[in-house]
Amino acid sequence: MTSVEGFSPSFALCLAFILLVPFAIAGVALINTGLGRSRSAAQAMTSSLCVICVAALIFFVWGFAIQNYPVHVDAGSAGLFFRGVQFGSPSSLVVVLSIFSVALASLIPLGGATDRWRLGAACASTILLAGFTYPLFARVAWRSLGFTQWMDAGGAASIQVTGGLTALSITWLLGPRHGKYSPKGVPAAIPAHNGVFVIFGCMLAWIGWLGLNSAGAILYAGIQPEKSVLVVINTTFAAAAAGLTAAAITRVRFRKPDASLIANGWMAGLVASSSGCAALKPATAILTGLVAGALVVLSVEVLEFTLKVDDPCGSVSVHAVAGLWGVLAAGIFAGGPGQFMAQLVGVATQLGFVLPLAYGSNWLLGRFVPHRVSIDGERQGLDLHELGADAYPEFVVHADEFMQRQ
Amino acid sequence: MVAAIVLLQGTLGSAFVIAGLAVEILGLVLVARAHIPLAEDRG
Repeated sequence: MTSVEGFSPSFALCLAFILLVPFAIAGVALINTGLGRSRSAAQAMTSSLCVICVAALIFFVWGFAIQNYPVHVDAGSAGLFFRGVQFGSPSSLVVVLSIFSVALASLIPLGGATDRWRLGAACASTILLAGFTYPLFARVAWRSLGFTQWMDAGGAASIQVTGGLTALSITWLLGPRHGKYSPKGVPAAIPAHNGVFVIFGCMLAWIGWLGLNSAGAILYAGIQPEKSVLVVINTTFAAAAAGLTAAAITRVRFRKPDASLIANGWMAGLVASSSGCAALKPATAILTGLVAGALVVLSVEVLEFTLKVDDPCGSVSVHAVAGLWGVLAAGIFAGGPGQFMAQLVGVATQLGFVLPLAYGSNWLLGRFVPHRVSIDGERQGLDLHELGADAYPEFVVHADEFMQRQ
Repeated sequence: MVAAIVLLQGTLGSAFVIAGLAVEILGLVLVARAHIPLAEDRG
């Protein structure tokens, strides 16, 4: 590692960036909860917290031993239980960022599985994600294959696409929520129960992403810490462009801007910015965001209407689709044909390795630990069914929340 | 696939990656179609 040598202002700045990442985790948890039903809100937040606990501890036990340091970080090799990690050394910043990254990746599937995924199954599935899927891809990308010229400073592929494809796998395995599709296959609109949570979550995620992308650019792309100014600008511009694009598209198509799709657009911009945040110019970051914002609206519709994938929080569209676009955009806007080919190899590895691994391992898990709650539990709400207490006990909120499309 | 990418360089390597990606996308489409719930399972 060349950018951070010894304890220095550079080290402190990088650590400060890393300490912003939990805001992204909190933001995603709030978004997932707000976009779900009110009768499952407490279970959604509890699942988020439990999943973070499991991810951090599994990563400590064996996850980081599998992932290890990127090849350009001269820190030897770490073993089980962080054996060999020199705490306080610059290389240990990679360990801290990795713990937060795996926790963030582990929250993403919860968004696709909202309102029907058992807490125990979510925790068990996180063992697979944090213990195998995430660290294996990170290892292949940064160590084994080296992905010559591979550009993914903020983890658009390793965090977002890995989480998004796992969300797709879980959503496929669970099937749609009860009442989501009519017998004719027409999807019912099940509105977000708390738009304030969702938008506030987006703002928290912004803070987190500034830290995630800046720290990743310093540690993985090797930029000088003062160059993180460009990373911050690129991240913000991409999100702004994507949010506005989603607002404009939904305004034109539905006559009114759609809050949840604007939130998804904003998040898609953040996700898409992660890959090339250290190399893009502000104008190309805006272009990346514009496409991400349009792509996420299109993807949400294709998944819901055509493929009958019930993804209440748009996790697959925001994290997998926008993440894959971000990886490709970095190759298109920030390098020559060689760079684009390197990004394409990353995309191929995600689709050909991560998706089958996530689907297969979770399918196998489902044979032993059922993923889905019972139909009665789903009707009652996961708060009462799984936790025995409602998130909003003083409100009468259990009327049918479906709005059948004509 | 990893070995092929390492061994194949230049145009041949690029063609291999693009062909591989095309096969993966075809597989993804087929898997996605297979997961569309049947009419009698909906509701």
